[in-house]
Amino acid sequence: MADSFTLPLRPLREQNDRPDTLPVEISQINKQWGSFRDVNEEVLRAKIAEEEKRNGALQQEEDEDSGGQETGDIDMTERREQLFKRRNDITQFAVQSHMETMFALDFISLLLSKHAPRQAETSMSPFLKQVAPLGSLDSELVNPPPKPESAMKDIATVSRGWRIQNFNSASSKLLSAATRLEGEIKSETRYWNEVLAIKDKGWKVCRLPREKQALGVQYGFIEATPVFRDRGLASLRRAHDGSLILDKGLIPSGARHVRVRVRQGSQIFESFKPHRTGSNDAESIEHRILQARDSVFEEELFHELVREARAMASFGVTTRQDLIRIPAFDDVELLLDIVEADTDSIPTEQNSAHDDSQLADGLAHSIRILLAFAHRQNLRRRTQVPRPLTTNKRLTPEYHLLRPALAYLQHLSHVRWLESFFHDIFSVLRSSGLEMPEWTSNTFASWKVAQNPSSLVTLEALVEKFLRPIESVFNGSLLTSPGSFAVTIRTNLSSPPFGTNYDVSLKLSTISDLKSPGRLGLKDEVEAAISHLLLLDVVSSISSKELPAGQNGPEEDISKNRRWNPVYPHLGELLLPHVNPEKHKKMKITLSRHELSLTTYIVRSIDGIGRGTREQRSHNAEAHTCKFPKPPVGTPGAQEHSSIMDFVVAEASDAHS
Amino acid sequence: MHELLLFASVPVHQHHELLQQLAGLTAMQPRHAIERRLIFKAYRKPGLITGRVGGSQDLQQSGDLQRVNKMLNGSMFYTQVVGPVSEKELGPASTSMSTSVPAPDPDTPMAGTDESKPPAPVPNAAVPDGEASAYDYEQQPWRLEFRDIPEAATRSAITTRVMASAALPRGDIVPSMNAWGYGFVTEYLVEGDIFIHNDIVIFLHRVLHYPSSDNEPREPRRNLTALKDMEPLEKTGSYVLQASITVQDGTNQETMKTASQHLFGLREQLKSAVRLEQADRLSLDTRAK
Amino acid sequence: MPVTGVYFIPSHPNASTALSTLTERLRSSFTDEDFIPLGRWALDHKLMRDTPGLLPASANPGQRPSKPRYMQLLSLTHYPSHGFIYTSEPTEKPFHPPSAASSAPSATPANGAVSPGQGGPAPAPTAAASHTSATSQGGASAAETQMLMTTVPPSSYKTLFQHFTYACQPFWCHRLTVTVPNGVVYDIGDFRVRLGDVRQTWPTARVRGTIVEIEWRGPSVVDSLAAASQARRSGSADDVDSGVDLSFSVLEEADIDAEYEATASLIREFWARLGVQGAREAILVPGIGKEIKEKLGRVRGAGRDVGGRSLKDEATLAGLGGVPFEDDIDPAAGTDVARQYMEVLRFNR
Repeated sequence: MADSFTLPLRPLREQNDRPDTLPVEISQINKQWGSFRDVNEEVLRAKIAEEEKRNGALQQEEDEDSGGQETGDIDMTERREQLFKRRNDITQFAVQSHMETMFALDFISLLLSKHAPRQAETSMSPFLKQVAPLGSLDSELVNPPPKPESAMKDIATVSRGWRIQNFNSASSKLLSAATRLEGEIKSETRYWNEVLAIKDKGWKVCRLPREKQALGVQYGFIEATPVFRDRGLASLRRAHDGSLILDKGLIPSGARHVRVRVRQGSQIFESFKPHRTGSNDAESIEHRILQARDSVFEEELFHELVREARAMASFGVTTRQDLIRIPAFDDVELLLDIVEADTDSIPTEQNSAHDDSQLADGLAHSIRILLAFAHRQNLRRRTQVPRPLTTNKRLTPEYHLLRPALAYLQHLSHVRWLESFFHDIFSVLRSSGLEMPEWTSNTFASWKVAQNPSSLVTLEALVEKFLRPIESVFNGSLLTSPGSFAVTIRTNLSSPPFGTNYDVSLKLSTISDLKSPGRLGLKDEVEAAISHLLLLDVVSSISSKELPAGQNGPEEDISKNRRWNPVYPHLGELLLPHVNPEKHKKMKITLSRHELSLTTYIVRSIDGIGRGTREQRSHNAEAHTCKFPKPPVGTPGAQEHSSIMDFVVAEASDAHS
Repeated sequence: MHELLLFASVPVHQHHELLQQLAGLTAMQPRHAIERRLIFKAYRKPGLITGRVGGSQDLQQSGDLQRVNKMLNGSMFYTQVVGPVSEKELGPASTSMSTSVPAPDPDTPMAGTDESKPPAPVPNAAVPDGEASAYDYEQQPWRLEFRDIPEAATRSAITTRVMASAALPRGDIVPSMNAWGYGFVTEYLVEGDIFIHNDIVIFLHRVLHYPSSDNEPREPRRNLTALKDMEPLEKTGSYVLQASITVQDGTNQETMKTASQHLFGLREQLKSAVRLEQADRLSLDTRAK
Repeated sequence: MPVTGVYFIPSHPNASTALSTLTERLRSSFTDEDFIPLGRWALDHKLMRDTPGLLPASANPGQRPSKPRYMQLLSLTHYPSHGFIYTSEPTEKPFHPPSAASSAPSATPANGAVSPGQGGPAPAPTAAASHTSATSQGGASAAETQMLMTTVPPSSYKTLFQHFTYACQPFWCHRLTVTVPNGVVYDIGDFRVRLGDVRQTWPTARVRGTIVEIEWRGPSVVDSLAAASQARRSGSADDVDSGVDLSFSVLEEADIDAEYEATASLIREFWARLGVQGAREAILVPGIGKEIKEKLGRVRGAGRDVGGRSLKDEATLAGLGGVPFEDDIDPAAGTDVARQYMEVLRFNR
């Protein structure tokens, strides 16, 4: 009994006061007793019976034991004493063993401290540290017992084998290193040769600023916006076999370019595709650098286009995601976007008319030239003496890329309109038999003016002209001799006042109160002003026409030097006086872009000077009308006079018949 | 306005190399500059120099009088009047070659830089070649360049000083300067190359004296001497590298700090070539005693 | 450069100015067609005095009180291309080691033209040594000393003023700043009139009075002379008609003086129509017409040489400093009217 006595050294396991959950209990029952399905009354009864049987057996055993247990119960105090004693024994034993262990540890530590003081010191007891200095104990092998011959032999063999093995591995390592170095040398040579080849082609090879060991090639544009300038530098890495890899970091490698499309009505014309620059070997490093350069340029171009387009919202320019939409003039719309080089746009549209894509091509070229020009300007600005440092930031203005192109288109449309207008109205006048002098045009005069050779580089001076207001001049002289007109069209989208305006100046000596309208903004106003001037010219040329003397006797005296008298030249009205106040004859001329018409009728008033509708027309007098250009023969309005002067003379002689 | 500066001395044998290095750093061609510098000195009436009227006298010093006295004893300065000239105006050299050994070639070919030149390396493009333009003193533009003595006790290793720069009318500036209280002292020439590095103006230059003659003129010269006949102040012909930033508002600590950081950045970048450092304060003393 | 006259009507610090009265009188004296408001104008004027002159006489019993010296800085919006600096000529030669009095005459060649206001021989300011200066000054009649006009680019105007107050304290002391913040311009017949209230802004803010500039815009030899030489300066030398030169070359300085006199009487007549009392007039101030006469001298003497030389190329000469060179096409423009303004604005604090 006493032998089996144990003392729990471990802490009492805490009673789990929470009963097991039902599922756990069920599974436990299942494991222990089998499935519930097998449980029936019989089984349970059998179980109970079995249990009772076993309990009975146990009872008997206990009954047998009960005599000794009683003595134990009686001897409770003694048992407790024994308990304490044993426990004390155990504690003492444990302490002693601990002490011995510590002594052993100290000993070993002290011994080791000779060779590994730092490490040994950690396991030494403070007392020992105080008492014994580190490394004060050493061990030595004294008089080893002689080893047997066989053991000696074994050792020698083992060590030789071991040495041979080492030599073998060393030699193989050296050999592999040699081959590796050889490969390395080859690839390094290749790498440097390619780097040199790049440098020989004129690329700027330099150390990367952020990665001092790596080489980089600079292909970008120094004068570009900082974001794009920094992107113009890529590192030249070495592939495993020594070939160069152009590492642009996170920038996508595909070539992209700005595509310009011109939509005219339903047709779309697309600009050229930038042809692949450089060598035909698509995979050569040179080609990849070139492609990277082109891409960075194109992306900067598009970035700047978007920036400018946003500032041009007042011109109706819209930007949607990656598309700039510019209404240029009439029904022409410009579309700019950036596309991958190899993506083909919808081929059907593109094929529609290749030769008509000139406009798109021109625009595509011009925005690129202007970006290059802006770079030059940046260089110039950068190399000027800087202004004093202040706290407020200076903003970089948008480049002029679209505005000059747009100004050109707008100007062109205005020039074409004016040309067609002059063409129309002059052919109307000519068809009436008037010998109009030719009008001359000097389109884009401002570009032709020879700039004084300033200090600017000629090339830059050339481009700079495109940023200035565009000017075209139209000149013409009139029938009446010292008469002339001049129209200057000015388009300016770079600085206010924006837009196009016309400067019209008129000279006609016969009309004294004629004033030049000066600056006009609308096409209609210009049309009206020019038509009016030409009308006055026609009026004055009719009035200067000497009419053949009439045949009638009584009026000879006054009809000498008969002329049409311009009473209201601004209204196109002339008067042929007659002795008979009832028979004054009036002529009204109207001139428009498409038609010149003359109407004569008899007016009944004292002197014939009445105005417009208020004047009294004679009822019986039929109005004679003559129109130019002549309507085709056979139509109702066919007329017999082939020129305006015939009509004028005929009408005058009519008056006297 | 304030000016922040760093200086370095450049021996003549290093000059060409440094020009190339600076051209690479600033990514621009050097801009050659020649400037006439007239030195003027403030003067006051000799009789009134002593504004200190015996302190123990029985004058009751009103605040106003004290103020006037204080002003009278304020410091006075030398100031410079600077006028750019072109090499052609300096008069024909005795031989036809104008850019000879002492003058650095303004078109130093630079490896690896863009071929596009700034428009102004060869001065005076308007004048046809071969015809040396005579110097016209009446058309000489001028600029007043005032520099105070560098600020004392600044902990940063940068020379900082108050400055003023103002354009003056062309032609004879002496009568105006006299009327304003300045008298002409002497003049010299500065010859060098300018680079711009962001906000920093880098001026690699040296001071040239007119060939000494017996009678030093007492007014600015009407005719100039050819560049090759000028004598460098530093006999070895060495150059001074000056890096400067101007700051509009010197009281703004933020901008001043930015400016010095920029200069320190440049110093770091040029570390392997030259050692840019602060100048001795008293050697830049512009006060007139 | 048209002929002008300037009037100043002082007012008490707290009283209302004569501006409204003047405008009223102008409106009533002239018909509406003649009376065309044109816009606004502004003026800024800084007066500086020599610092030693501010010491009370008692402070230096041994010294004779010297004539006060002034420096006036004026900026006018109708002459935006430059500011004016008008300075008393130095009374003694600047003293510094290598100088001697012998160099003086060539240093100031501009003094050759004697203004009509000063009858007697003008004191050659630089020739006189400091001890004799006081006696020669006695000869000058109206002006305290002769004054020198300099025009500077607008950007330099403020910088120079700051420089003088910063670095020139022992000899220049800022006394007053007056401004006309928003004056009004009218075209009245052949005259152009500028009106405005003069406000002092430094050292204390107060109203000083009303200023009126009357500009003769009729035909004038002076004006066309100035314009002709200006055209020649700006344009190329070829397109100047030599006939113009000839017509000017027969002019004498006396003709110009007569012209000034005649126009002055026109302006006085105009002013008299307004009937405003207590005004200070500045028309034929000392030094007026000096630039015109210099121009005439150049036209007659040098002939075609003047301005034949093209101005220096800007780009090549933008030197080291922070200030670019701005080219003033006619630096002498407006100096006459500037003198007149400065004459009436030279307040004694």
